[in-house]
Amino acid sequence: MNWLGLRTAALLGAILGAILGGVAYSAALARGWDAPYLVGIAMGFGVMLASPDRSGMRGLLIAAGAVWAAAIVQTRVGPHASAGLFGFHATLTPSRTASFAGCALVAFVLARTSARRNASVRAAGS
Amino acid sequence: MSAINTALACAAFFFVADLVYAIDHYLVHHDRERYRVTHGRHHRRYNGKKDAAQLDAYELSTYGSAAIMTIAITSVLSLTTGNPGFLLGAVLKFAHTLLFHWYQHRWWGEVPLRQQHLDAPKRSWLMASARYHAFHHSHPDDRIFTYAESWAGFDRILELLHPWLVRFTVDRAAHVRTVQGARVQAVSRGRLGQ
Repeated sequence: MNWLGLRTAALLGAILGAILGGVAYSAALARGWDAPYLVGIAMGFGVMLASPDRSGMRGLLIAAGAVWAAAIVQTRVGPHASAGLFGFHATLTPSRTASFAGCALVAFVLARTSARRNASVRAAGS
Repeated sequence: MSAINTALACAAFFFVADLVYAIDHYLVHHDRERYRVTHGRHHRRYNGKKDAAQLDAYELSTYGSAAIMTIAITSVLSLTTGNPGFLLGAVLKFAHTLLFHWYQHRWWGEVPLRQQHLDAPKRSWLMASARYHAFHHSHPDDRIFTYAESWAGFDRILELLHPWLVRFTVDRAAHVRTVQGARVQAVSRGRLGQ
């Protein structure tokens, strides 16, 4: 499987990153530190390490996934847990919007690339 | 009010997605290498006798990939705005793309598409019909642009912008050479005439 550069290994890297990032964000929220970008960093790194090629489309997908993963975490832990996913938008203050934008940005920048030297850009249709 | 907002967001996203599809379709027809490796296969298939399923793995992968991308992006928009219309628009666009292609592929049969001699569509500003798109399959590089899936007006705008827009395509050099060649020929003809 290699839709949008998301090979099976990269998908597993993203899932592992989401779990580790989610645990780290939960721990941070429990201590009053709202840091959704931890999920973006973990997912981005997971994909970057597992991917043999580079793909901007994959970066966008992982960025969207990181925002969703972080939003799901904050429905379980922290001061906005009662808002749920449907009330997520109402919890977005300017600083929280910036934090979630940072989460998406760092996930995109890391996930679009590869840790391997001379990794090729994924060709459309491959 | 909330239903109106949802409908507006849905329509707005559908319109934007259709615009992106039309531009990308134009770009792939002006990138010979990309056309040869990817999209050209779609045209080659529909210009032969029908010998396979309506949508093959490549087409499903292409439409599926576009759907995954748009659904991922709009889901975040809907999550952060509280307006489900964006996500709904992406799902609707995917359904439209599938239904549109399934319907227009009814021209694909025992008689190859080119031998059916479909008349060229008019330069319409209305909705793009399935027949309009079927003509595109048999005449991919016709001077009447037929890249749009929903609103044929995108093609009319692309036709107007083409002399300028083509400079930003991968095949720009070939097109610029063609235009320059035509100018040189015109000048030569003028000189010979004198």
